[in-house]
Amino acid sequence: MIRFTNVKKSFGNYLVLEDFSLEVETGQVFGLLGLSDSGKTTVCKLLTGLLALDSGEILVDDMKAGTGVRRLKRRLGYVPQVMGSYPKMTVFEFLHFFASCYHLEESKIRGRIHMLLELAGIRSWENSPMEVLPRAVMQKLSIVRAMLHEPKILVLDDPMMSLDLRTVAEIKEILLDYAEDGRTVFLTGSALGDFSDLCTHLSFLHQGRVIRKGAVSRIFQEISAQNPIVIQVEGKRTALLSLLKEDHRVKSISLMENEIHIQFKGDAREEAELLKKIVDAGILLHSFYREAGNMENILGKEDKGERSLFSYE
Amino acid sequence: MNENPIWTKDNMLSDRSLFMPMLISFTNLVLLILFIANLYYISLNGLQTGEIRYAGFLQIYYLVAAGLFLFLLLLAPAITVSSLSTEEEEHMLELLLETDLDSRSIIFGKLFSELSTLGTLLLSTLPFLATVFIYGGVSNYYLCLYFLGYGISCVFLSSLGIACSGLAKNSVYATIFAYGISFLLYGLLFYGLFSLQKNSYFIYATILSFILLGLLSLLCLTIGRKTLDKRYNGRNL
Repeated sequence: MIRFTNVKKSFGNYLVLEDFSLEVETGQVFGLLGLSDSGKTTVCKLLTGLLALDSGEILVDDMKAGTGVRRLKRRLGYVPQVMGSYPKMTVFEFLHFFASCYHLEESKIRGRIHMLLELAGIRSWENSPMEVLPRAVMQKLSIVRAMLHEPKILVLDDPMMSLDLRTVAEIKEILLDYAEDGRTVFLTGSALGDFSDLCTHLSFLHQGRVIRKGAVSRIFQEISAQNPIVIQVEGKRTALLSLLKEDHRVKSISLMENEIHIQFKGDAREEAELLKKIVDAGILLHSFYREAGNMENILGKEDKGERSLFSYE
Repeated sequence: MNENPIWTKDNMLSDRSLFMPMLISFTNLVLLILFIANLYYISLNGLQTGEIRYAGFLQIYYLVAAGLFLFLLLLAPAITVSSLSTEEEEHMLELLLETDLDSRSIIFGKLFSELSTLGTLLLSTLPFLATVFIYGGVSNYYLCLYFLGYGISCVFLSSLGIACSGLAKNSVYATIFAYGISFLLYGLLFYGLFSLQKNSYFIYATILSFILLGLLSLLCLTIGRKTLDKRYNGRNL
């Protein structure tokens, strides 16, 4: 289990984390989402002991993070955002080196490396020097390296960054396989879509604090309910506006150039009823859909950022 | 005996790089030029004066030994100062700190790999140093003193490079510190030893110098270790 309690971290005058509190239970695949520069890497480095807290506490299975205790180091496997390399080493030599650093038994190292390379689908690169590895293979190698000593908790800092969809899918499979045996996976990122089918729990980091957290299904339900419905019509805009204003479930109407955005409080059935009302009124519809959740939507609400051209509440 | 993985890794990477062959070639080339130039001078002098000065042959050994030591002073800081900063620049230091290796293992791994480089350099120049056995004139005692001094200097300069690499924010500053400290220290040591050369206290001064270098090596290694410990325990350097 990982517990962050009132963690504060700043770099000079720049406050990165303020009153950051979070709990990650054993066996969860936990995603911490945030925009760039929100502090995700700082959270990972605090957890792995590479940075010191200004105040607060981080516990990993009741051990304080950053104490350098071997038992704690063995429990964690860290995948940084950018992994370096030794260009003249082959993939096998690189993994063998790190296996030696973890004092794994020499007789078991080779088997373990081969198994992990097969799991990641990069066995064919085993004897290639690291300087020729493409980005996707490097990222998988970074994850494999962190798994060598079978840590109970895998910490990944934005593992999907700048990767193509296929590689992202492959990495998700690797992580899901790894989490099957009750291990904890803690990862950060900024693309909500990457986490929806991977994580069991999510939290959102914004301006140094956790603004939302919970099980993935519940989070997406909440996000979805808060997102506007987008309507595009051909003519009869005034009629549409009157119809919408009469409906008590429509909480606000915003006029965009070619679209109308409404905040609608209702379930899927009630959405369908509204759609039927619009069609029955003879209004020609181009589109009627609920906007998908994205980071900017979620965080923009918190920031109370830009408002639309016209807002009715 | 379990080998230090850092040492094994650095040796492997060194074997695959052109640096060592070029370093050995260049060093031996310079010593060869010194050797031949001195031989040429002796024969020229002999032709001009009609006599062969035996002391001239001894100069060969002194030139080569001094040249090799000067090489050590000029090269060692530059070679060793990048030991930790290279790991940091390659984004590997954080990963190493996350493993079971403690700071002592990392520091000693780096120290042994630097000593391997400098020791290999010494071994490659043994043929030139061995010319003293042709002409004689230098006792085994002074030969042992030379090798002991060279060995202790290798340890000190490697330790100094590691300490500067850990303390300084970047390689340039680390190099400047390492060169500055080594030149100042060796300048003072050589001045003191040369002043006492004809004195009966020379041997005691030499032993004291070795002890001093040994203690400074320990200090530098401790500094290097502390900077790594701080790095893991998260205090920003």
